[in-house]
Amino acid sequence: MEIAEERIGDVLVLRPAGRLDGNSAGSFERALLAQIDSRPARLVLDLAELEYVSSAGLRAILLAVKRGKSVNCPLLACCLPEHIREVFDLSGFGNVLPIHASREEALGT
Amino acid sequence: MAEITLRTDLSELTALAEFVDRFAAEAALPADAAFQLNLVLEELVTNTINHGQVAAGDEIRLRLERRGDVVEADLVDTGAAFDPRSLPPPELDAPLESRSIGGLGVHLVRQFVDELEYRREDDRNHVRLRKRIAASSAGGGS
Repeated sequence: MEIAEERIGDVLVLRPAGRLDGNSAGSFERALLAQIDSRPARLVLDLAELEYVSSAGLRAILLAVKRGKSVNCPLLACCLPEHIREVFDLSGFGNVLPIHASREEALGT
Repeated sequence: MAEITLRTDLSELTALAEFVDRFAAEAALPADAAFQLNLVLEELVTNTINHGQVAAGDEIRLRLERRGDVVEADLVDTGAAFDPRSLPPPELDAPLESRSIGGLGVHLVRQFVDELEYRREDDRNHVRLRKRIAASSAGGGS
């Protein structure tokens, strides 16, 4: 999996592409936690290019949200493809982090 | 019909995903069904590898078949007895601090399949699932 990064002011946008499964979740989690430790004001996960997610990927995101909360760096998600959105919804992830339809919406909150 | 035998190692998830994608293409599954089938099988195989007290030599056999508008999957593994129907549903509305991911994989499996059967036989777990493919997107004509 590839993770593109972009800084917009003091907001960090990460755009993972490909499969977030039991194989890639570990390296994704490490990358995410390292970015949170660099203390951006906010971290936006732009999931437009995410092709697949399983519970292993959700676990990595949950851990990152918890870490972000402890260092005052909120995580937000945006641009979920329909299949990914369904997995987030069935997993109750709307209670874990704010989910926005567009990047503009996520950046504007 | 398609079959594969996997070692009980997470590195096998790549082979599993390729196998399922190939089956989905040959069986002309719509994209949403292929995605969900991938997820369901990854969750079940990962469960066996992580919680099945497996050792070198243990294996997971998977058979996939499409019959009309139903996909049937048979999973047989040599791990510890585990009935995926037995787990209580996770607390999806628990506050963030106490949210855990335990049980979420099996929860997603139950959401995405129409039938889930389990039996323990000859020291093996036998899981059979059936997933109905929406008729409106069942492929076929062009």
